[in-house]
Amino acid sequence: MEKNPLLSVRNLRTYFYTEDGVVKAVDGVDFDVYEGETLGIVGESGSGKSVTSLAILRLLDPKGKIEEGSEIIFNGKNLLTLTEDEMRRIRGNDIAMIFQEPMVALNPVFTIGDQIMEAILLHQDVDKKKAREMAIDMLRKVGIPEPEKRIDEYPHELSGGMRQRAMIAMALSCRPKLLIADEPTTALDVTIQAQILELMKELQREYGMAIILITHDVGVIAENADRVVVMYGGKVMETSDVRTTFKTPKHPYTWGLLNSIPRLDIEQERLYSIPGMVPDPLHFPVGCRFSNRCEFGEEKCSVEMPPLVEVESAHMVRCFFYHKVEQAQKLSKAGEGA
Amino acid sequence: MTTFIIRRLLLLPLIVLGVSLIIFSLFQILGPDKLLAAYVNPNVFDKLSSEELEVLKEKYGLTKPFAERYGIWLWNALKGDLGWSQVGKDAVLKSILSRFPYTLELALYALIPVVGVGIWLGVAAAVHRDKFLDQFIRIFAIVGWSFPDFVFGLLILMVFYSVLGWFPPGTLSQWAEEIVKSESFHKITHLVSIDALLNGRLDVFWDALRHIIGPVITLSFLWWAYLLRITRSSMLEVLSKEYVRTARAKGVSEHDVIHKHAQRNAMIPVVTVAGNMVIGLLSGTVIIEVIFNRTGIGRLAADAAVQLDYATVLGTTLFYSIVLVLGNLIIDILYAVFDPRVRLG
Repeated sequence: MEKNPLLSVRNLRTYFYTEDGVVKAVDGVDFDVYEGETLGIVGESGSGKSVTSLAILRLLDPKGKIEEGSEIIFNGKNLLTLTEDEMRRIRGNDIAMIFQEPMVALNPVFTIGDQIMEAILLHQDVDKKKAREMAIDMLRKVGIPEPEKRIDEYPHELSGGMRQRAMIAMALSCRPKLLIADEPTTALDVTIQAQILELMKELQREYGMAIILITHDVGVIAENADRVVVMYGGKVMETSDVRTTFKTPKHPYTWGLLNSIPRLDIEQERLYSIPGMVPDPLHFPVGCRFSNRCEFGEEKCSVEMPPLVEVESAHMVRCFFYHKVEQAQKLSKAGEGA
Repeated sequence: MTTFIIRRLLLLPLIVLGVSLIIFSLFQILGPDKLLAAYVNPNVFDKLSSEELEVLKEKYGLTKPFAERYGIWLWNALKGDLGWSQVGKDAVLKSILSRFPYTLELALYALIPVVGVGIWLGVAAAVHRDKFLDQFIRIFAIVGWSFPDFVFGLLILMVFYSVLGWFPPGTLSQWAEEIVKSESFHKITHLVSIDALLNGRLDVFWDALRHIIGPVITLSFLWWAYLLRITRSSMLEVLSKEYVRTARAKGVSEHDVIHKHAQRNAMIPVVTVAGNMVIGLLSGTVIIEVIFNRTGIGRLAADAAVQLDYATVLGTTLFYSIVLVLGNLIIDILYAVFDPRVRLG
């Protein structure tokens, strides 16, 4: 997979200028997305993962600004230098997006057909009749029964899972090269979650598109992503392929996240939780942003921000003491074995 | 939908019955002499002798018990006879019907500036939130909202009539009135300005227009305020909704995002407010009619109330309740048109 990346995010900084001060929601984020792969971005709420995805499409609300020096290179073009008109031709066409709550992400006063056809008519040179046929095809493809009938229904007439399928149909109607899925299954029942993720995988195989899968659910990432970016406090803490990160995490935060997943194979009295709370983005700790919650931290951590370093091939970690995590891991593995 | 409309229309007689019963009983504090006025043509009332009056009191059952009197009134009302209007100097029904076209005309002319511009300003304010345009519109709205209508009406009259001489009070000038009343002027819609156009009398049309502009400006300025505030807050709420972001993520242009995706949703609460404004306009606007010396149903009702002309009060109240019920029915239907989630039934 060592090709040119489809999307390169470089030193992305997105600041919100509020009355209380500057919120550095995303503060120097780098990652690449390659054609046809799924990149998972995982982190707690407030880690900057959603802001990152909105920044790629330049859909931040007016208070949020992408700072000078940030670069978002898509297909060789820096999206941040495009005009609003050029950007509009990319949205929904080359890069599409689906959101968390299909209930509120679909416009309640238009039929799902209207909303899918709108995307088709905006980006493709077809007439209304053809667009309607294409919309019906898309609905069939995402597994909506009786698409000829359902196309004229309003969002409130569909179930949550069906709505998310309609949302996916809309996003994929112009065959985008990149699909950004922001918590696509969080609002759905667990059984429906699996169906929707399976559907996304199938369509990815068929269309060969890349997916950025944003979620706080480590399990979803583990099963669906090829590579993972762990975000915390607006910064990338760790990134590598999914197996490496989840088998041998090197950042204390990733380690904490993985430990807080309930496990059925070992007996646990209490589920682990990372101590403390997500810091207020107006008052991030000086030095490493995780320092005030970190079990492995030393004095140095609250003074200096550790750099993101490549500790193994294609495995980057932002921690001075990552070897402590390695040791802790060995110990706990040994403990399990005993 | 059809059953919903039928059910609502079936409510109408019940409401009318209730309203009439209340007004009718309130007026029973008046003596039989005063009540008799409702049954006698006002043009001959003063010429009657006291013996003749006694005979009439007997004839109309004014000395009979309440239930019987109400029964007589109701029976006559059902036959379309609402009695005589002392204020209107004619039968009550005729008095109402002859004034309603003036009220309707003012309502129609005020509708476009009041509703159209009000919504337009509200959307503009929301889109330019906290910018200069928004601040300007909001100050404008607060001023309009806090201005008493009689003060603003008088100001308009002072500036545009006394000083500039553009928009005179009244309904028509003397000469135009004569043309309208003449045999050769065909009354087709009973709306003066439209009839003038249909008769090919541009001069009369222009005269009617000059007389209606003052009240329209007054109504607009005062009523915009409310509508634009509702529209602005509704629009702001909708603009922060996720489906607006979805539309942008699809590549929809900013114009369509605002005027198609957002506005359609923002109109849902506005329909109720705008609908109630139209009902208010159709019920007549007493103060505007008095200040601008216009004929209209609001003034008829107010004069009747002041003079204890109970037949006219009853008649206009019944008219209001019919306008209100039908108006609300139309609002509910429009509601369902704007919001597919609403099912009438």
